[in-house]
Amino acid sequence: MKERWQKIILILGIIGPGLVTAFADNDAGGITTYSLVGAHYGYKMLWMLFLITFSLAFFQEMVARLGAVTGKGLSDLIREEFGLRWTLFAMVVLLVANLTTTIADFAGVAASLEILGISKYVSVPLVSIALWLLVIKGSYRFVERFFLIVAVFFATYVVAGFLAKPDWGLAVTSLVKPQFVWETDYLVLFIATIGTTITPWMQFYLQASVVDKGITIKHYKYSRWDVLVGAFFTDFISFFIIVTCAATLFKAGIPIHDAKDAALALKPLAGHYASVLFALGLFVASMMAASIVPLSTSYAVCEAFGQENGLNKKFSEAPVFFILYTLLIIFGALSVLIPGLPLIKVMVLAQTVQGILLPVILIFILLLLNNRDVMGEHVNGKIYNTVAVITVAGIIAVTMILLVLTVIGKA
Amino acid sequence: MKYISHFLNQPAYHAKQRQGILKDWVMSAGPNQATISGLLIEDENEKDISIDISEMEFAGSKNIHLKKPLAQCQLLDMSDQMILLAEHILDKQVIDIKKKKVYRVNDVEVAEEDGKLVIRWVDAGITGIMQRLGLRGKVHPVFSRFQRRIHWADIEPIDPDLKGTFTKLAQMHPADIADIVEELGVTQGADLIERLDDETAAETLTEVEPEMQSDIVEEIEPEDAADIIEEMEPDDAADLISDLPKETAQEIMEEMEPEEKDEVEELLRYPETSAGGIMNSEFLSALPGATAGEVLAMIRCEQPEPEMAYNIVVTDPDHKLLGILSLRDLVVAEPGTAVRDIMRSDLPSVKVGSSLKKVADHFNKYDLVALPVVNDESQVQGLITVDDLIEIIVPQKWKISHRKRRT
Repeated sequence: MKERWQKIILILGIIGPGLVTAFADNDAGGITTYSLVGAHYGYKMLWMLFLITFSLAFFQEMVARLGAVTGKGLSDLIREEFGLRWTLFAMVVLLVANLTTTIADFAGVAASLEILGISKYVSVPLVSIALWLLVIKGSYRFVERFFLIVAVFFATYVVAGFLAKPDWGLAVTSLVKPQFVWETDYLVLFIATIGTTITPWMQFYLQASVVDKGITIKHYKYSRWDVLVGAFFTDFISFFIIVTCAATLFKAGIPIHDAKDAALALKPLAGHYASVLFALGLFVASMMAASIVPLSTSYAVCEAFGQENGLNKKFSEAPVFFILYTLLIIFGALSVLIPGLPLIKVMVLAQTVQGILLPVILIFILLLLNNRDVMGEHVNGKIYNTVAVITVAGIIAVTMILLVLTVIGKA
Repeated sequence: MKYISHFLNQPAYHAKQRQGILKDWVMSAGPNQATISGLLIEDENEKDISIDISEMEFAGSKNIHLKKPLAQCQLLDMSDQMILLAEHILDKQVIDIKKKKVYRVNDVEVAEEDGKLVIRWVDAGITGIMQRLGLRGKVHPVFSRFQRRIHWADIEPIDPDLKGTFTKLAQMHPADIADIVEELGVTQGADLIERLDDETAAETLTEVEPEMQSDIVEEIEPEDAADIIEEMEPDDAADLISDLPKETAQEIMEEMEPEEKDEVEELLRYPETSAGGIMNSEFLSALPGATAGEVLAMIRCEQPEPEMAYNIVVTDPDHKLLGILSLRDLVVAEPGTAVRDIMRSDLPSVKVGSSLKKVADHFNKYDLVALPVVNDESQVQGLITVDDLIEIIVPQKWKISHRKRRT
């Protein structure tokens, strides 16, 4: 009996990093992108969501394994194996990608609360101060628990999905039936969907959480399940967001520009509750990501350059860490408050930038996973490498096609 | 003053003829070593050749110049443990034993001294990053605030490729080493502990927070773990073993010496939340007829751990508790005084099954530093010292707060 309890406690201790990362993955940019996908192309892009779930699961498993084997963070390893210049390059990529994500998430906070009638000039400053205080004054354990409770709100999307009464048969067959639309908008959304589903910051965040929880390769088998379940869960939610919009907005032919439009347009089509639930989900997701993304950026950058970091340090002990975190929040919040700024474009642009920058980080991960000095007997197998290489090559190919289409101006 | 990164991956010449590329700087790993003993050069056939430092022209400017063609250079004896500066130090983590912190090395500064190349500083600040990127002097002076240079004498490298025991780390207090272990995390922390001598490893492990202790021990081979746990105080060892998964605990116990194993097994019988669970079964005892001088001689002879030395339990030949004797009482008494005349018999004891609250109440009420624990027959089973109690009553929050937490 005691043994069984020991095992359960062990598993509970390990579960978490994968799920929390998965929850935070469906942030404002994600919800907006998925809404646009559903509203503009109906069920037509579900097949790539299905494929990308495998890419996501494989890459998440890889970084978790990297953390469990080495006990080091991703930026630590990039620094140690590739040297200072490559690290600088990776960190610039990460900073650009994460800053755009942070802006997108503050835009999400603004948009969701505007649906509920609160001006962004009130909501954004208040939320950013609250998030800053939560992270600076609260302990990490508190932050993690807070987010796990808040994550329950993601169930709202499943409920909204059922309220929208979609064509389930068509939705499921679309998952496995590839359909192309040859226009730049489709490709932009294609890359944005990849960029919002597999994000650079998630890789750093997940690996750091695995290391931080003290998960070693010995207990890794439980952690693998946590990560894989997390990956499928995150796309399970994405599926419902797309389906909700496809069943209502796409069917009725209502064009939307952002998640706020989606929530408002849902009201007459799926009822008042679907609309409020949608807004609530967006608010929670944006808030979660708006604090986790700057935080994980600060950790990654400080680690890479050997600067002291950690929430339990004082400002004077880890100045770079706190300055960077604060600047990211301030910059993210202020960007959203610029009058007349098209929030939607910012959000989709953010996801597209993430999608374009993503291969850089994925290649670093792939090289590390194939380095026997780093991984020992746990180096990548053939199946993992095949899926990973196809993913990276696919993203680069789509990015190239998009660039070509943009240049020749075929809109 | 030179930075080693300047020359890495740069060509090495002899008489304007390219001999190969400098891949690394080599030094022997012994204690108090600061002199670079050789160069690792990749020749034109991509073969690595280690040559003695005496083959290098010191006057060289931007590039390395050799006194002879590479093929004729004196080879370096690599039989000893060697540290490769680029591979084991640059971009890697090191411990500053003075500041008691882990830093990442941005560059290493060397200087010529009596015809030798000596390592002076390790740069771990932002200025080091700037200088390696070629931006030194081109940035705002505000960055110099973040300068951090560490004297080489205070550096302990921790790259896992460097096997062998640490030389400088042992100068630190085990509690400080434990902080570093906690900061490094389970995998790297376990590596570090394995490379300490067993006694320091045991003291360090005791200071690591309990939750992490068992994770670390699981990472260490059972034989090595057993060697370390044998060196721990039996009560700490028992706490640790009771936190381990059953299989691992069994594997380790099988590897332990019978004497230490018995003591631990004895303690494991009591629940962790009882007096028996936190007591130490190793303690000093004396008979009432002994003299103060004899007891002092015994302490000198036994050389007990500090927390055990301050209090001596007085029992009858049947191990039944009669009283307790402090080191202070022993020292101030005339050597010929009998123990029964100076011992205190008005102090309390607890049963092995007593609650921790009762233990704490006794310590508080009687201002104790040690409390004997007895069985139902009043026979002394162990002693709880005040450090055991503090570990229990200090709020959990305080203990966590110094641990690095990241997301």
